[in-house]
Amino acid sequence: MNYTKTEEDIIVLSAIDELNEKQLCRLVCQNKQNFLIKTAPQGVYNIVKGKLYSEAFRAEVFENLSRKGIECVTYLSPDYPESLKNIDEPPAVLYCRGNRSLLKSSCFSVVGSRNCPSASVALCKKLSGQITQAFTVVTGMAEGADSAAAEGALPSGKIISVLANGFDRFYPATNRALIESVADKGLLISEYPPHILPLKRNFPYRNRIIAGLSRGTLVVSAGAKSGALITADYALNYGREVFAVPYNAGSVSGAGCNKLIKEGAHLAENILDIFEVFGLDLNKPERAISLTDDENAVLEQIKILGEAFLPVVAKNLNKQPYQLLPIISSLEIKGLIAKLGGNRYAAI
Amino acid sequence: MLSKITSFALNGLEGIPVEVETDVNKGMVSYDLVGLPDTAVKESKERVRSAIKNSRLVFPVNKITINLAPADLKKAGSHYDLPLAVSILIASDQLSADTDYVFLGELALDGTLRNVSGILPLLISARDRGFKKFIIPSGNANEAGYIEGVSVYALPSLAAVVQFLTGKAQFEPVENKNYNAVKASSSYGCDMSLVRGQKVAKRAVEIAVAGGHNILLAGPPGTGKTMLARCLPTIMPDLTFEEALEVTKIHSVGGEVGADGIIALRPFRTPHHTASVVSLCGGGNSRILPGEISKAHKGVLFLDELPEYSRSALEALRQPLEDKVITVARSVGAVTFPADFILCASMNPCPCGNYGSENRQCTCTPAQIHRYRNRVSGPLLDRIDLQVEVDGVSYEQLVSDEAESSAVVKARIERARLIQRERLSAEGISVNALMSEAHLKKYCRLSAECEAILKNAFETLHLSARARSRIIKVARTIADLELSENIQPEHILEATSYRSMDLK
Repeated sequence: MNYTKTEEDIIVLSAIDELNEKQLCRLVCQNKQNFLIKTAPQGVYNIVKGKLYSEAFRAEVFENLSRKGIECVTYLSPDYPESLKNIDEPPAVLYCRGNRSLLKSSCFSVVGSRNCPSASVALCKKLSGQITQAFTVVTGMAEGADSAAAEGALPSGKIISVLANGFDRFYPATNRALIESVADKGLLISEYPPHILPLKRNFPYRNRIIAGLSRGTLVVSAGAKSGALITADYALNYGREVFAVPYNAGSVSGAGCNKLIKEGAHLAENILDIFEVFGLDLNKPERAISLTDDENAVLEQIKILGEAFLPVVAKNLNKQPYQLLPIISSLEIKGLIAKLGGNRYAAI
Repeated sequence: MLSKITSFALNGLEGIPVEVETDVNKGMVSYDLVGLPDTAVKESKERVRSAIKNSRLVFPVNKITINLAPADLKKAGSHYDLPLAVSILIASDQLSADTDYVFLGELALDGTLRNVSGILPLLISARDRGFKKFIIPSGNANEAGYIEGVSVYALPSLAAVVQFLTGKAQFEPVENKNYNAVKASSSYGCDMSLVRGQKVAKRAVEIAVAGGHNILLAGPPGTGKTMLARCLPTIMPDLTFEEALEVTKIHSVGGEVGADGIIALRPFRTPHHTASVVSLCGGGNSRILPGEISKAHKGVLFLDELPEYSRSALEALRQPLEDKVITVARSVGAVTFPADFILCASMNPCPCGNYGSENRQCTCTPAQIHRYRNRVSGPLLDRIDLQVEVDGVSYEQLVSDEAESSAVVKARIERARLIQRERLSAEGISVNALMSEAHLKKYCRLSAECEAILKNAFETLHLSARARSRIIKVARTIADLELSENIQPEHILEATSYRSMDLK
């Protein structure tokens, strides 16, 4: 990939460990070229200057990037998404693997907690798939809700995953296959050069990119102190729409979502709730699913009970629990209910 | 003078005749035992000397040489005491030389006979080799009563043996016992009707036993997984006499046969999760003993907290689960033990046990859960056809609940097993769980509707490829339980629901 001289400088600067991403942002995006001289200790300034003008260092940086198939979109590049330019501390460089054209598309972020209830995972996957009808889904790569969002959007290829570490490391390791397929079909981005480790502080800071890229943010699940709330906060500050999935009163894994709704976030039960805010309509109406009488009865019961315990459903329908198993499986295959563990089910 | 009598050595579950040859001759006073005796056999020299003296008999003061032939077979166990003593008595002219009895027994210093282990397999092999008359310790009489076509004399002491052989006292051979009477009087002490709630898990257990499938119960602690597992033997068909004899043989080697002398109940073995590979599969130095999986033969092997077992122990189960026998090879030789059992395993859904629980918060990170579940390898899970979640909710939440007794369930299972036997007898297997891919093609043809459901299930539920044959096998068993000729869509759907571990 070809970069202009200035772009090359920016990429090299971002690869210098002594310079953190905030300083880089001030240098590159806020036109404060002199601040390093004014504020940084003499040592740091000299190191940065030395590396910036070292031919060997520059060659190593670009050789490394091209070997790993990583492309960079800098703040000055025409490919740099407009939506990101409007945030407080835009990333100076976006390291990309995959389909870079997605950066220019209209984006919507879907985020949630890692210990997301199984029903919410299923819901997240479904919603994320539907959102791709109008938007590119932006999310992280953590287990739970983020992974589910990525999985849901993956078939359409309209998925951007923002990592909080460099591309050398697959984090979390259990999602290695998913990370690879996002790079393959969608787009993987990070503001960090390849060698950066997934440090704890990177994650909340990374969330500003997720919120900044998107026109809206949907919080699928969030405990009272979930990182997903940080993303929602950023989105609010940037003037984007915030959506949250409602939970039962007293629910631990949904306390954050309910709090967002209380504070004025849009309540999102289904895809129409989201599209309505943007004046969109479903261009592909939901496929009508034919159900047998038994299936309808069971689905009805599960909807009434919320979190339905199988023996209770059976009792209400005057049946033995195992007699419901075929019906439950069938509903599950049709994507109407999700397993919660312990023989409990919920409608999605 | 030279004497020669017969005893038996135990190699696995097979008895091998051992000639005990004793030569008492003039010369320097000595007392030697040759023929690869292990420590217990070597020490029998001293027991025999005291026992003879204390039975008011004469221990010859001559050069005594005893040989156990064949000389290259390692002799282990304590049952050589009696043959050694008798052979010395014959060689020193205190007993007549012509005896066609087989002698087995351990001696106490005062001359009484003590129980020995492995009597049943020894007697059975001896009978099969044409030996008809036996003298054994009276404590082992209970086991001997089930072998037909032999006369076994169970005697209390060495003195009694001498009196019997010289005709000074009369003893009756051990009477034949009636297996059915023992069977009728023994019970498991637990029953399906005592397990309340857990209807789904109970149904899965029924299917598992009906089709000989292995089963995994996953659920929070304290939800009755262990109790349910204990009910498995109660719904298995009764042991036939031949099966009971086979099971008793294995347990006899370890000296674990109770007062009845035969094991009429299906074994239920629960090795602790610190169990080593050897204790599970069998092994030993001088004498190869059966492990837990063989002791669970024809019964249930219950592994509580499956992920806590060492990886090597679990992986060692894979081959016997497939072959239903285990061959233990050691430097002293290789022995094959039967190991045809149903594996029932239980595990928590996550390290803290609360994952998926309604009223308790799980404190595990996703990575922890992933690691915990990964401790059970895919190939092992492959062999567990039913993976079912037990309810994480207490029974109190369900009001009325009348439960079926084991006998009712057992009747259904026997019916389903009969159907399977009729269908599969040509293939040399008896239950659906043992079907291979070829058998599945032949006996489990799916209608177009079933195929469509399976295809859909794979797409939406992200099932692994290996889940397919598992689902079909279980569906076949469900169809058999429902007396249905062909696999119906609802059977496939129900089978699909027993796959909790396929979820990430």
